[in-house]
Amino acid sequence: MIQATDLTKRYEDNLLALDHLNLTIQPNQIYCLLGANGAGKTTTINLFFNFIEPTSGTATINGIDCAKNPIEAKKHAAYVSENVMLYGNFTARQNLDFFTSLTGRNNLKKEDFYGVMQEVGLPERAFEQRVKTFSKGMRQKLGIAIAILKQAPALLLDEPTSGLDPKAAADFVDLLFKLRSEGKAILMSTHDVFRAKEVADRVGIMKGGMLITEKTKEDLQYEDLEKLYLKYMEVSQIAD
Amino acid sequence: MLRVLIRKELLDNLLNLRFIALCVVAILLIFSSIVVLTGLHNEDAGDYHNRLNTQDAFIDRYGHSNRISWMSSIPREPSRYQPLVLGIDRDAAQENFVNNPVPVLLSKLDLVVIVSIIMSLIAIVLSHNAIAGEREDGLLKLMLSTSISRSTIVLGKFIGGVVTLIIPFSLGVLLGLAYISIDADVRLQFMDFGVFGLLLALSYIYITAFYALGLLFSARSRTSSVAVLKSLFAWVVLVLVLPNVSPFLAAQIYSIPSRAKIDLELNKIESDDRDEILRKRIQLMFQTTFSDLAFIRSMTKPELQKKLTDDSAFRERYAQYQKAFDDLVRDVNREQRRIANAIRESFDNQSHRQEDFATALASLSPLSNFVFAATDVADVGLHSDTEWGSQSSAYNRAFGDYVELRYNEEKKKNPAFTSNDYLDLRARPRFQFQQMPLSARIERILIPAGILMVFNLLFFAGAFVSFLRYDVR
Amino acid sequence: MIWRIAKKEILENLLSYRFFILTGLLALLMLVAVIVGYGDFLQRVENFEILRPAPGSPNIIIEPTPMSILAKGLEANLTRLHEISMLGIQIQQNQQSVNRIFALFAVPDMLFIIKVVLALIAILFSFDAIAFEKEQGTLKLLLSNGIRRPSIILGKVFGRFALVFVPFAMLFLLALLAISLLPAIAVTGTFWLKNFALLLSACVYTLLFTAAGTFVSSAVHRSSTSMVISLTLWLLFVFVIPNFGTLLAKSLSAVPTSERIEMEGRLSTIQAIYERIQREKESRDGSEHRRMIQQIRESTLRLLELYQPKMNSLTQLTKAIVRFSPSGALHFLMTDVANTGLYEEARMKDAVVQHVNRNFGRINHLEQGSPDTFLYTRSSLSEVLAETAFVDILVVFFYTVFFIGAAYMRFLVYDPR
Repeated sequence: MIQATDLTKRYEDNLLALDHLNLTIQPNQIYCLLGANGAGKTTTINLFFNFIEPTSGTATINGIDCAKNPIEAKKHAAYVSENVMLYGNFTARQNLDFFTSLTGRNNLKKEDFYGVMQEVGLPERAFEQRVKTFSKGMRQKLGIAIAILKQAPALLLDEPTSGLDPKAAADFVDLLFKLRSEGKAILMSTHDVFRAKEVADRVGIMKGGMLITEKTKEDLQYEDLEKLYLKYMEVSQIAD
Repeated sequence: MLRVLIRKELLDNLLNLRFIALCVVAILLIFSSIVVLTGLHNEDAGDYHNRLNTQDAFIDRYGHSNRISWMSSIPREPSRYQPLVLGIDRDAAQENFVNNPVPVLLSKLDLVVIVSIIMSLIAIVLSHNAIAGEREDGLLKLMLSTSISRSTIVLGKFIGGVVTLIIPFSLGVLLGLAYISIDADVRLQFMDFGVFGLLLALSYIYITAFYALGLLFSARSRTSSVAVLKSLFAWVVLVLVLPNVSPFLAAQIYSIPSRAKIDLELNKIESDDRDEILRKRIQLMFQTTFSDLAFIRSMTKPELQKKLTDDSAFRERYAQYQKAFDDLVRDVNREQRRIANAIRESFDNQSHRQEDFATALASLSPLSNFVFAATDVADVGLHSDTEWGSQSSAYNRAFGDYVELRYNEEKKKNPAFTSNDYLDLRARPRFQFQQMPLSARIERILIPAGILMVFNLLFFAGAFVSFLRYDVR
Repeated sequence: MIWRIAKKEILENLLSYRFFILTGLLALLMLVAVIVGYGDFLQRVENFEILRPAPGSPNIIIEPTPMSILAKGLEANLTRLHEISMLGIQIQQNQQSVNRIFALFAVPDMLFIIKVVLALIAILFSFDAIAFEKEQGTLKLLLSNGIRRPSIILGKVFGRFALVFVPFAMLFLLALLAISLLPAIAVTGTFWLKNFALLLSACVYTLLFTAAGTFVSSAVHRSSTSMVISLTLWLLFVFVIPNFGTLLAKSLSAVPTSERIEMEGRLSTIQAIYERIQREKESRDGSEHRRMIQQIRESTLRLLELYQPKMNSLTQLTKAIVRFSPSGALHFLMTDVANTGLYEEARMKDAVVQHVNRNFGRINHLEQGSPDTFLYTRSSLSEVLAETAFVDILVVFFYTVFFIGAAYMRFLVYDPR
């Protein structure tokens, strides 16, 4: 469903942000990209949405090349960013209404929006409240509601849990499991080792634009991911 | 899809308290300026009719050909579009000792000023964060994660923003127009609606240009604070600097002598130089053709009279001299007048060229084009000023001819009639200013309006291209 | 502590894009203003040389002042040629520019730069003083260090003020130096004194707008809101109040147009002439000319007496309304200091009328001798200050103190969260 083949990005200032990345995510699967700041996680997601052009290699969603046919590819993927402000003067429902109509779904009723907001765990009083009064966690939930309403088979999340309180983060994990059970392929970037271990079916550790190791859930039952992560960081530092 | 985007822009702005406040201010300002200016217009119109009546009564009663010209210069009727467009402020013309100096010091607030300065600033404030601001909030990425093309987004922002600007503006103007139409002193005609429509259309084009300018800088900046700086910089240059500087710069680059200097020169040519030339030519005459008459120059008047009565041969010769002398004077006068007229004409040409140059320089700013077009539509601009000048001087000539005709008629009837006697001028030609028809006005504003459109196109194309390449991260 | 905060404000902005672009704009504008103002001044000097009346002529023209390069004001009116005859005082028409584009736009002199552009720059340097630091979270950091709030707010106001004013003052002095070195300009002590007064008023005016921007910034919680409100305030002060004020004053006071007055003057003059002709037809005793001139004079004086108070009240009303804006007050203040303002205009008109009255007999050859030479020196700085400018100074000071005080009070209770 989500696939990167030899995906490489070199910026104008010659910084190699992504170096021959290869990964595949199937439906019913959550993939976590783990890495420090600047490891290339966000660049990867940006490439899938064609926010930037790849230098070489291909990113595909549902088999569609994201660089050659971005409009078509984006129909099959939903995006949740690290810290989205949304339109502060709009209510939660108005924001949902606007973004879903951008995906071409115009026939939704108020109740549909309310249903999704309930699903992501927004309190009922917030449905018709202006978003500028929302806390970060509430905005994040609304962002996920937008992604859900898109009904895309692939879901790409950029640091979705950063800055969330433990309760909100736990709710969020439940939500991800629910989406996985609905058959979605989920790619999530994070620098939170515990969260990655908790949700991921597979974890990829990134450093300096390279995917240095990939572990499955089964592997992680026998290995301590945190130690592994720190070990790889050190190793690559020595390699540097 | 475009519709969704436009609706969102509209809604986003209309839910914005700051924007609502700005709109209320703009509407109030437009309306109150129209109300006050309508009052002033009625006063001016009253004063004008009053003056006209006084003048007519005077000519009917004191029609003496001697000083008739003092009172016959016709006043210009205040434009009926004064409540919207003041144009070349006639209050600021300082031709009399008793002039009111305030209009020179401070300009007035008409619709043209409100649109050109205030609405353009609001447009920039509204559009500067349309792109850079949404990037900062992460909204651009979210929007682009759907399958909307970038061109649809930028087009939606453009149309949505322009519509939000135009709605409150039109509301203010329409309220003002409603006030004008219920005002008893102003009777609206069919053509007025054409003029109002053109003024509105010009305002829309102008406001749109500045919205596109803000969008352009928003699409060329990473953050909205940088975008606003860039757009304000451009706004200051285009609105506050270029138009004001251009006439001065034109006067310096294409400098022409002052009118006072030309007057001095003309005076010299037509009196001092003429006298000098005459003196020399007469001397020459006495040395050549009339050398036999040279002696008369030392004669006194009585001596000459005596010789003229006594000597018939001399009388004949003297008559020849007299005729030659008259011809000489006439020729020299004509020649000097020809030189003077050539200078006058070349000065007129030069000043026109300077004015054209200033206009061309000013045309680099959308504001100037808007002002040129709006004042010309309302018949208070440069073109109508020229038109007024030629029509009123044509009338003055016709009136002068009529007075002369009447004077000669009276003189024929009564040889003792003098220029200080009453002359019946009741059948005189009356002046009626022929206003430009609407079609001619449209033709006249084609160039400035076209340049405004080019600005629009340039700014929007810039914004469009920049947004296609915009780094949304 | 205030100084430390101010220093931080200056260093923070000194290398910024904003500082670079705005100072560049200021420099460019001032260069253009000096070039353009000097050219304009030369034209007036040339006119003065050409039109200067010969000894014995009753006509009046006064010398242009180089101060008009900085604030043109009513200089074009002041330096007109007044032709004095038995018909009264008339204006030579050939000094008005043939280029009508002038009539459509404003004059880009130093006064315009200060009143409009410098104020805008001050706003742009202060609208984010508090709100932006809140958004960045640095405000909490500042307050967590035990610095007292008054120090922060005053440091911010004065730091940002210095950031705007110091480059301006340097450019201004440079411009003055350039003007003083130009040919055709004789620089005197009063030139420097008056320009020092201009610089001082620009200084207070800059502080005013910096304080206003800081106040707005401390009254709201988002810098974008602060920017919109500050720009609105700027529009209100610089354009709306002065321009609308002139309209309002005119519609509130019934002053006849100058064309009307001119016409009435002509009417009574012609009437006097015809009465003379009438008298000459009936009986000729040699006093007709004298009587006619007296009659014209009386009617002219009557007209002036009738209209001058109305005109004065219009001017006063306009001043009163426009002074609600500090920019309007600054406009009056600077033109008056530069001897090109309303005060000078009224003073000069009065002097001309007085002169004509004193010399009336000699001008119209009713008495022996030629009229006195018209001697006129423009008002001194102290006279201007005492007669009119103190009100404007009070207005500007009031607003400055008000905004500094308001920013101070607001910030004491500002919620930094």
